[in-house]
Amino acid sequence: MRISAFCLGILSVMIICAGVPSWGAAQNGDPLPVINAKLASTAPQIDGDLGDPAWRNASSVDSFQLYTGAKPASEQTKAYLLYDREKLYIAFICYDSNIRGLKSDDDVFKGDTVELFLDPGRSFEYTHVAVNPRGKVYFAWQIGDRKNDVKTATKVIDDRWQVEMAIPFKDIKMPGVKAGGVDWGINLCRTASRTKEASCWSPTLIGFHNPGRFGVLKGLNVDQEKFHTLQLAADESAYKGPISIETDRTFYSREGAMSVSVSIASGGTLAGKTLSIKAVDETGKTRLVRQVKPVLLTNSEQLDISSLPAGRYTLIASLPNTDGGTVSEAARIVYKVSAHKPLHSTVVRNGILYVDDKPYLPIAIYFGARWDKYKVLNAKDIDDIIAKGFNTIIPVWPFYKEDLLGREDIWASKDSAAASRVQIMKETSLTAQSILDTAEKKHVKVAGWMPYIWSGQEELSSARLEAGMKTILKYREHPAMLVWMSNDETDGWPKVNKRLYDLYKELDPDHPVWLNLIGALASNREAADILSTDPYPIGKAPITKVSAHVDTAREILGKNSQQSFWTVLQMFGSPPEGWPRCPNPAEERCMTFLALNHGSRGLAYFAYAPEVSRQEGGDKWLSEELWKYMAELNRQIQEMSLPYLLGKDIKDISGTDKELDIAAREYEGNVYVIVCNTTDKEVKAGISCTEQKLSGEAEVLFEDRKVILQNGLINDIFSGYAVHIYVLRKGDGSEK
Amino acid sequence: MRRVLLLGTVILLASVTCCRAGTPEITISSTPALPMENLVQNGGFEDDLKGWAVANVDKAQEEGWKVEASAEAGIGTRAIHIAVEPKARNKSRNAYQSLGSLFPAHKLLPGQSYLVSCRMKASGVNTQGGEYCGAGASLSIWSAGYKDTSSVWAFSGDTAGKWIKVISKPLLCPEGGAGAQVVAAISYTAGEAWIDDIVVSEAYADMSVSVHGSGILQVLVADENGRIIDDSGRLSTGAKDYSKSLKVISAYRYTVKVVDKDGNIYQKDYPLPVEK
Repeated sequence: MRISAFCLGILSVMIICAGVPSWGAAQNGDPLPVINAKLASTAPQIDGDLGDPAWRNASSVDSFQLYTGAKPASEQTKAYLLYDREKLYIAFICYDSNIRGLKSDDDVFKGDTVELFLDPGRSFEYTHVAVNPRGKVYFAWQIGDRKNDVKTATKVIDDRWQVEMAIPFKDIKMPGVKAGGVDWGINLCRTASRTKEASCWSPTLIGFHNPGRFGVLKGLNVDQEKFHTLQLAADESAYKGPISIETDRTFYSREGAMSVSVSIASGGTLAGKTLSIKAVDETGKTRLVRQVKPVLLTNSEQLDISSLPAGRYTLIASLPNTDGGTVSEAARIVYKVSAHKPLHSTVVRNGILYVDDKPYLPIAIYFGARWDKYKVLNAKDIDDIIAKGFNTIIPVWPFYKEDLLGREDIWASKDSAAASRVQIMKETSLTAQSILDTAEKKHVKVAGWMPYIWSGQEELSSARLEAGMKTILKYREHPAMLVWMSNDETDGWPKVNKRLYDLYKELDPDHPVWLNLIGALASNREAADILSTDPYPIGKAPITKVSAHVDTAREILGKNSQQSFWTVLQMFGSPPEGWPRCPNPAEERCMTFLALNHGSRGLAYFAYAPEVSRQEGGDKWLSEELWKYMAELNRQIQEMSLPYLLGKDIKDISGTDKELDIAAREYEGNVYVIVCNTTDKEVKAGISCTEQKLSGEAEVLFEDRKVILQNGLINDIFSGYAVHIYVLRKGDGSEK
Repeated sequence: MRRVLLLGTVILLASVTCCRAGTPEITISSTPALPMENLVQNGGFEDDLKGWAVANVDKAQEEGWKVEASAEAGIGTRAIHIAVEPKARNKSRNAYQSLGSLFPAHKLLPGQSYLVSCRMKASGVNTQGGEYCGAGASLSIWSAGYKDTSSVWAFSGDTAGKWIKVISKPLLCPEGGAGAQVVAAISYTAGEAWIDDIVVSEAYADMSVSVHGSGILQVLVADENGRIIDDSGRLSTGAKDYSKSLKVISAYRYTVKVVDKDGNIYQKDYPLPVEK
């Protein structure tokens, strides 16, 4: 809540009345001193040395008194003031007859200090700057240190210490246009530790924080409205008032119009009022204005934004209050971004991902390692992944170091694990960009995932929005970019997931968005083009957990859903988390074909581990045996990709053993029967189909053998978790 | 809970403008009729724990929990306060009130859905054990012969020092139900909670809004959280009538606001259920 000027005034008067000394000090009604601002022809150099010619043209004040006004300060102070269009320049000379007694500390207020108070328009919402001889700075809007771009320099000489300050107007708290007048309140103050004197140019009677007793700064020709607008944009959370503003999107590119909705919570009258909606660019220039009259409680307007250049815009809705003097304001930040035309078309249609109109079965791998192994990852690991037949790489967070490092203020400030994440990033030699470039050269794809910038349940600040925007705009045009992965296992955050999905699509409508969940698909079905779950059964649950997940997903999404469903498969062990070992090759193959048999149209394996991890951990993490086997498995998946993606499902196929999971696909006249033994025991069984009679000879893919069908039955033996894929070639005798 | 003084009629929140000539006539009707009935007696604990029972209260101190009336209130002057030490987290620690045997002395009707809502403030309470874990109010209905229980919970975990309103899912009253009970509880967690303003009522109501006047510019229906459930948008100049039927959840207070052609705003409330 903002304290109104009126309330603060009352408060000040009360304090003043209680604190006026009775022995002839300055009184509350005494005239205030005045200083006239002078425009600088050139900006002074901020180096602590006041010999700069720019100061010769400055206004100056001296004759500092104790803050009570009782008498002049025993050690005198002189101050200078200049300004240009962007900054206010202040200099102090603090004379001191015993400079050795000067004290300063990392805490600005322990020891000698100079303080500046600025109150634009005398609204009582003042800005406070304090500097000590060490050059330590405190900057606040009334109270509470805040970020700023103030520059200061100090210098200690034999009989004085000096301070120079350059204060950007954008950092000085500016009132709304109607809330403040032309003159500013200003005070220049000093605390001398040795003499224990608190002195100032305009005595404040009760301590420095008394804006009613600040002196008067005249003639400062500054565009207060511009700076107020910029502050409104930068500090959106401060402006939750009786009106609110919403837009249909955050990011606009090809859209010709912006839908703006302004709601008014006021129970008063709207009679005679005009609602103003304006769009202000980053320089404070108003680019669009819409006046709405008569005003409703909810006002929906379409703003033509077709001619707006790319950039950040602050939409400001203003409505005069019933007292006529003040204005209720609400602000929202939106962005216009350039449209782009991707090199490759990537769409999800009928549950299948198409790249350049060709069906694409992603065989993806999470490219991450145990956290302590990131420093060993290098380009050879990427080569190894590609050599194993993976066609999609999912680089995890440390590789976004170029996007995350240096922005810890927005993604790591409340995160206790942030320091170790930062360290890992610093040690990682690969980057998302280098992985994308390598992927392009080797003709594989990348799923983009930038956690931390946009993850978390809290509302995204404009800083986070912009950081995420920059990352997406940076990578969206890369030819290797396949999809965006928006979040991982955020099942309980459907609103967050949907919000992220919308933001991704606003910035990059040409790439599908993928969301991985533990299982809560129903509440998140609107939050992605591609959904996946990650059943990890090995060592914990029956292997059919994989197929059960896919069945459930298809039921939730509906068989005719345009959305695609992928499965994240276990390629790891983790004893501390309850997975005693990684899958063996037979289990991995069985999980893979179970997922495909039941309708998964994309596969992602969790997770890559570098050679040193494989050797250290054996099958506790990722075994060398399984890793080597992945080349063969991926070759088989690739060969089966079109029958799975485009083939016709053949119904009513069954086996004589219930432990067998069976699917059949007809593609280009060939019939593929894929049978998975879902147990670790050997099974002897026959497979038959009532929809079409199977006959003749079936080739067993990838096994260099054939089976002869007898009475429409495929009879075979299945070792534990074995998968047999039979193909009855066109013209080989299958009857339709 | 604040005692409701105006019963049996729609409460008109008068503003200066609403009394002038030309004031639009706002009519709100509802099935069930307004105000709906809160089936809980002393749900606001203004009469301390009158009407509520606490089981095994003699063991409370030894087991590490307490249930008591409190002057810390969400609305009005009193609420119920429940505190549970970690050693007592293995059960629901509560005060309960029977809503009667459904047959014959029932308050709930078979085939109708009901919900429970409350205001609550909790500290150190978690909801990690599932939907029955947390603090707040719950509603349970027993099937015939007390064989099965169906329950819904208006529960929350720690509220960071704030009073919040919590509303359960609807619960369908079965044919032949044996009884119903409302409970104020900290359940399967340690912590401390203040619970107030417990309401059990039919879950849904069919609300009809009609406005008649000269020059209606906009009609807006919003719930107590400001969520707009109907917005006429800008009506054609000189509109004289507007009507709308809405299915609403009874646990919220709704407000109908009307803007006339001169910019005057008129409003009328659809009240919360009250104890009868």
